[in-house]
Amino acid sequence: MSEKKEKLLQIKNVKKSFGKNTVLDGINLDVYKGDVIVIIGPSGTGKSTLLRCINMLNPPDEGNILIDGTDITGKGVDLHTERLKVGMVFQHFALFKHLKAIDNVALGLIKVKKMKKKKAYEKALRELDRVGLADHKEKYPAELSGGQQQRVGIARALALDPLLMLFDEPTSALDPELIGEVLMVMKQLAEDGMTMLCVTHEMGFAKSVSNEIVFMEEGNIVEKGEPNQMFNNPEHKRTKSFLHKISELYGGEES
Amino acid sequence: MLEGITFIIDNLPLLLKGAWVAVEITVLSILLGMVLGIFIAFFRLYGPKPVQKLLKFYEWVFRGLPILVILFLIYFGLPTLGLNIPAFISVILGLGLRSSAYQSQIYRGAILSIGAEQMEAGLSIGLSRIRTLFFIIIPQAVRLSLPGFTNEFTIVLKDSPLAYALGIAELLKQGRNIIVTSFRPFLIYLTCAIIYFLLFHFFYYFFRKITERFKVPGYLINK
Amino acid sequence: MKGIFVKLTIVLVAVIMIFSLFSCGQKGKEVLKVGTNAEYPPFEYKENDKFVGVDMELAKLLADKMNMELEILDMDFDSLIPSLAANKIDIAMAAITITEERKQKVDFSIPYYSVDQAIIAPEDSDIEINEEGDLTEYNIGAQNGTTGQIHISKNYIEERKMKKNQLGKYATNIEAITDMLNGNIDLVIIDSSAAKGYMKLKPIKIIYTIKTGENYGIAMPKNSPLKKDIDTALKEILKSDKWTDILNKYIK
Repeated sequence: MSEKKEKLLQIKNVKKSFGKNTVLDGINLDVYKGDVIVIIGPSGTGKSTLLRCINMLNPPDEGNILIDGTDITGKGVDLHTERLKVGMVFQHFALFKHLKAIDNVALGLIKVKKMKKKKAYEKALRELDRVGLADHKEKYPAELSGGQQQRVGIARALALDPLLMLFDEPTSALDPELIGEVLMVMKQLAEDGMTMLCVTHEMGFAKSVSNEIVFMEEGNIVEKGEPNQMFNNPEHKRTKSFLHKISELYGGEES
Repeated sequence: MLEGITFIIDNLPLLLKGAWVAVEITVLSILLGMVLGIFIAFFRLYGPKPVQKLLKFYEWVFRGLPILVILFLIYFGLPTLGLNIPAFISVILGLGLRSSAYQSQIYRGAILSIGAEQMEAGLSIGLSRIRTLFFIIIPQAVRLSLPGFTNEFTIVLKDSPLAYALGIAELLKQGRNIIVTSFRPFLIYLTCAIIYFLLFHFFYYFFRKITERFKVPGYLINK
Repeated sequence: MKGIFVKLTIVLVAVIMIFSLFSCGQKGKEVLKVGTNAEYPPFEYKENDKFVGVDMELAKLLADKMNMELEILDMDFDSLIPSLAANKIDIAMAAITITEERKQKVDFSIPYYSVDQAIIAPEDSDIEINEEGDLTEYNIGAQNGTTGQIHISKNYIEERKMKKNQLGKYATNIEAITDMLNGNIDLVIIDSSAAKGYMKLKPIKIIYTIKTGENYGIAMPKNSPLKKDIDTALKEILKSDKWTDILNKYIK
């Protein structure tokens, strides 16, 4: 195992409420380089909200978030630059519907990283190739299957060379037969060393690819630990019963 | 029969002059409605709460009043407040302000139906809110608004004869001027109707072409 | 990007329009704004997009005499008095009969022409009117707002000698006459001068004349500063040959 790993993300006592509803009640989490962390828990426990706090789409009410040492919750932070360090993949893909696949991926490179068009499109093509969709670069999102759209979404996020990737239930909106292709890409990413934070119900993926599972309930982290330990020997009863339910529903091994 | 046709042809130049005025009125009113409509849509979506409330009231007023009432209020009513606005401008203002109330709905609906995730995605790749609006939201909103906009355009075109009430020499008024000296109301009104009909279809077809040019495969049709 | 340019153009157009709103300045001679309803031959109508007719030529003469530029604004007959009140026009010349009722809302110049009310019927009609009271049997049409319409309304409908639906109100005389020729109404009441004009165009005849001795006057807002000059100019014109020429040209 590697010795002193880089701490890429620090979530310190993050709290968030929507009106009277406390969604995050003091979350603490450290993410190191190369970590693949899967966050699980019942719906509405704030998992997605937590992800959206990390790239400040929904800033936390209290607490700090440090990305690569920089406190992005502080004042005077250039959010746009900081956001480039965090790639996000959405549940409903959120592809830019009026742009072709290759344009979706290249947009950030051209407009934000100010790359020259030629270089941007070359890189965009490489990223599309990485997710196996180079042949489909001229297609519009409406012409792609759900699985293909999501892979384009991953390529779009990867193109900006982020330090870590956030996945917000990336396969929940997919038909069963399309889930596999997305999970394969994610698995490959993990093997290539990308730091990933995933909210998902895919237990097979969690068991075989992740190195830490975090169980959240009612705005708190109930328990976290290595997959083996969490699945076979969790400390808390709630963890056990939840994992049991989920394993029944969503099945075991991934393809 | 033949004589009727030569009669129409003799008077066609005058009628076409009026038709041109009708087009002018429509285009200018729609443009005013568009500029205002965009601002109103924007501020109703992203502006401060009191401004939102004010604009909601504005929409409510202008959608609830008959156009003639709006025109008369502007043309005859404002002078009591010291504002004397010429007839043509009054028509543009009246039709334009009213159209803005409807157009803002079209644009707001388009932007809302695009969904928050598009904005989130834009932000997540490092774009600012405004740039996301510009590169992501607006191109899509334009495509979504085109059908509603086309409809609104034709509605204003069909409302343009109301300018007659303020004495503007648009198509219908030109028609009436000819009728009082020639005494052939049916033929003239029929010709006016045909011209309006042709104008309507011309613009409808024109906007259809634009919509097609901007079409993105699968996107507009499914929506 | 294309988008920016389109937006800028739109904003520019809007700015220009708002600008023109407030920069409606006037230069040179003072302008005499004359309101009319150019749907009433032979007094005011349009030929080849130009205003012609007795009132229109008279307006030209007036403007010349008063050393002012002439601007004619065409509108609905009913809009004339509101337009005077709202300062959209300085005077109204539209074969307007001087009545006590109208005098309450506007001032009039000295009278410049007198007419009676004519009752017209289709040329082949058998209807005979021997005295005014005979009218009550028939359906009569009139242009809305005219003294003819008011005459029937006041003297017959309000006196319950005729039913309300016996009086048809129309936007113009043309529409009234057309309806009569189509058989929907029996008669039309209309100024005698206009009746004579229409007889040339359509198969109608005057079957009775109600001698009302009405006078046309130029309408002005109450206490208009122009009244004195208008009356002076009018007096001169009415004595002149130019006026006789105009009358001969339009009213034989």
